[in-house]
Amino acid sequence: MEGPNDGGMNDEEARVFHGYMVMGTVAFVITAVVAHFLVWSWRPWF
Amino acid sequence: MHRIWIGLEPRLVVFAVHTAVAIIVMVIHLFAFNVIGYPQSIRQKYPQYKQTASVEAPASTATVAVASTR
Repeated sequence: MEGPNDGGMNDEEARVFHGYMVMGTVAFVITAVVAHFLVWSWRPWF
Repeated sequence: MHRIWIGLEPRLVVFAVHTAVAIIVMVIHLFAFNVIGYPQSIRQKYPQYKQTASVEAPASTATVAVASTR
């Protein structure tokens, strides 16, 4: 039976979703760090 | 921490988070151009390519403009 938030996530779905969000954020940060390292090695800005 | 998502529609959350991050990143990188010296560094490297827009119009076109205003 669908909970009060019928369209939204329940607790279990939210837990799984949160796992993907954290994984995606970590991947985004790692990519950004690599990109900024490359730009820094090309032209340091401090 | 996962409780913040309860009741929300996953696709809307992903859309909102990605759009917000993309806009913030683009705005931040507007300031990055100056920090790494773009485009000044390009002008120093290629001085022969002057800024074409700032060159004054030749005299001939100026006179034609005056004639047409009477």
